[in-house]
Amino acid sequence: MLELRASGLEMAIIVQQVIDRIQQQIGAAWKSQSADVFHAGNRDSEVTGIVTSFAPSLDVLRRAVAARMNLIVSREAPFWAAGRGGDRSAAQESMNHDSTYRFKRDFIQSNHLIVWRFFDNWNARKPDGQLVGLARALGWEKHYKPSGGEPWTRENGYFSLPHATLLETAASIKRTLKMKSIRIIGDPGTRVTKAALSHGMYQVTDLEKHLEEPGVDLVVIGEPVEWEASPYFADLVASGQKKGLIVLGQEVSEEPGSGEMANWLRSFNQDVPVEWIPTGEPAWMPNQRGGAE
Amino acid sequence: MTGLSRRDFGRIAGAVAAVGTPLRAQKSKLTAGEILERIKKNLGVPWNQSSYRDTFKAGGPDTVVTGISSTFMSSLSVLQRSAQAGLNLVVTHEPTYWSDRDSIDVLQNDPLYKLKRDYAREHNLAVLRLHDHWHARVPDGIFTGWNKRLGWVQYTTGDGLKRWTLPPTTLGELAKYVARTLETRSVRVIGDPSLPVVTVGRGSHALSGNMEVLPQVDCLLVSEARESDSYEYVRDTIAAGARKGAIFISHEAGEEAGMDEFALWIKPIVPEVPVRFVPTRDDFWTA
Repeated sequence: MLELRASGLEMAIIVQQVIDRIQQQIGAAWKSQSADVFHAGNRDSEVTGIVTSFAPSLDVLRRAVAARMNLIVSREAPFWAAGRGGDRSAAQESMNHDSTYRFKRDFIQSNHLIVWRFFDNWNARKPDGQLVGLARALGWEKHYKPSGGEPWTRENGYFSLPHATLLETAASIKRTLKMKSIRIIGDPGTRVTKAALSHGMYQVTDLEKHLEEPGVDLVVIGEPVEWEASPYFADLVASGQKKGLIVLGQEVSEEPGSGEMANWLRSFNQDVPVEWIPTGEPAWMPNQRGGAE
Repeated sequence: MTGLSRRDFGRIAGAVAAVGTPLRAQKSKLTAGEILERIKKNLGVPWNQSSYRDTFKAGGPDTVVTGISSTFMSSLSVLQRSAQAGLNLVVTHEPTYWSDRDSIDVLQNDPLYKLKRDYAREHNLAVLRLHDHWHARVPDGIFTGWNKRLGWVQYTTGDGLKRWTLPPTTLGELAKYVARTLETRSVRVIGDPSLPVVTVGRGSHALSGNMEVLPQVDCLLVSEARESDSYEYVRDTIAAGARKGAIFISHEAGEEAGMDEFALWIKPIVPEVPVRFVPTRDDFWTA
């Protein structure tokens, strides 16, 4: 045993090796101009463990430290807006004055954590791990009905569901995903049978594409912009179409994908522990039920 | 005899009488362009000709106006309710065609776009967006109306309409009050429901606005913010030990009352035609 441990130490791997392995395994041409960059830490550090999560929140970082795991591979960025375009220098200036930013930065530094964002290249991988993860979490794999083309790609998330009303389906999703803040548009009594499932930000162009698929009467998404996709859907309902929209929230829609990511990373990083630490749903609602007229 | 109240009867009788009045008939030639000129003249701030937002999205300056409907967003439902009420000039704070720029070039093959455009044409509707200028008015027209609706006019502090010192409450109670008063079903909250709250500040859609306000107040109140940055920032701030909370309301709940205010404001400026606030309402419900 002791010898094994000793040899394990000798074979210690560094952060860059994990990234190299990811690049080899991804199965798609690696995009170097992407959001997938180091946000903290040293790529020459020895890896004590890999944590995947939707967001590298302070809570996730604390749990990673408690589990003695130092490489955080996250879908979102640790300092929120960074890597999302806009004026980065102005953003950095205001960040330096912000006590939450400083607290988090110092926590990462003092615990020698490495935070690497894994977004664009993970999205380019086939199958779409985010879609697979969400479908599994919903228990919908058995209902999968791809629309021709390549299955389990982001634009091919179609499911034939057991017939139920929009309200019943929403309640079932909320229960299954243990959600606190589901939001719905449409008549609660609308019968829904075929869902288009998506994750993350949802644009009008995504919705237009989903509505071209015959029979789609339910659209399940992460987050819409409230002057774009959600009012589009409300207009669709006002035009007489019997359809429903269920908004899961960004974290709820993306988090199961981090579980898939952990499974995938584990398959070619057997020399380090790999763990998915869910970020958890951020918000609760004061009216836990109701509003359905 | 019928279910008509005395007031309804008076209204109908008045409408019938008005038809025969030459003065009334003459004034009904009032155009959307003339109404826009009156808005510009009375607004009290210079009109920015280069605003891509505050322009006609349906109809135009020549549309003869039978009545004005004021709303948060010119949704299809609002267009339908406005047309049914005989109000063919819809003044909207937010876009008609689902993007800030109302970009219709990308919608040319979109069936819902065609349906909505045709609905407006068939009902002779004009849709005028009034966003930048109603915000630019001093005081801001949106937040003036919104403070009134919340009953918070007397609690405003500091240099505007976006900071309040409230009678002591808790985050949970405040969230319930906001949901009830704004008649919105999609309020989302981050923080401990029992957190004591006295100072509240309104944030913005963008993270930078919320990073500015949260450190200065007990509770941030935001009308639509992005979950991947603002929600996570609030969550991290609380995890770092700060006694804070945040209430996120829908975009609609955050601004709709400001267009009720617009209806009150424009009424005396355009006495010739009826003016009514037509609520967009919160599209979301929860299960």
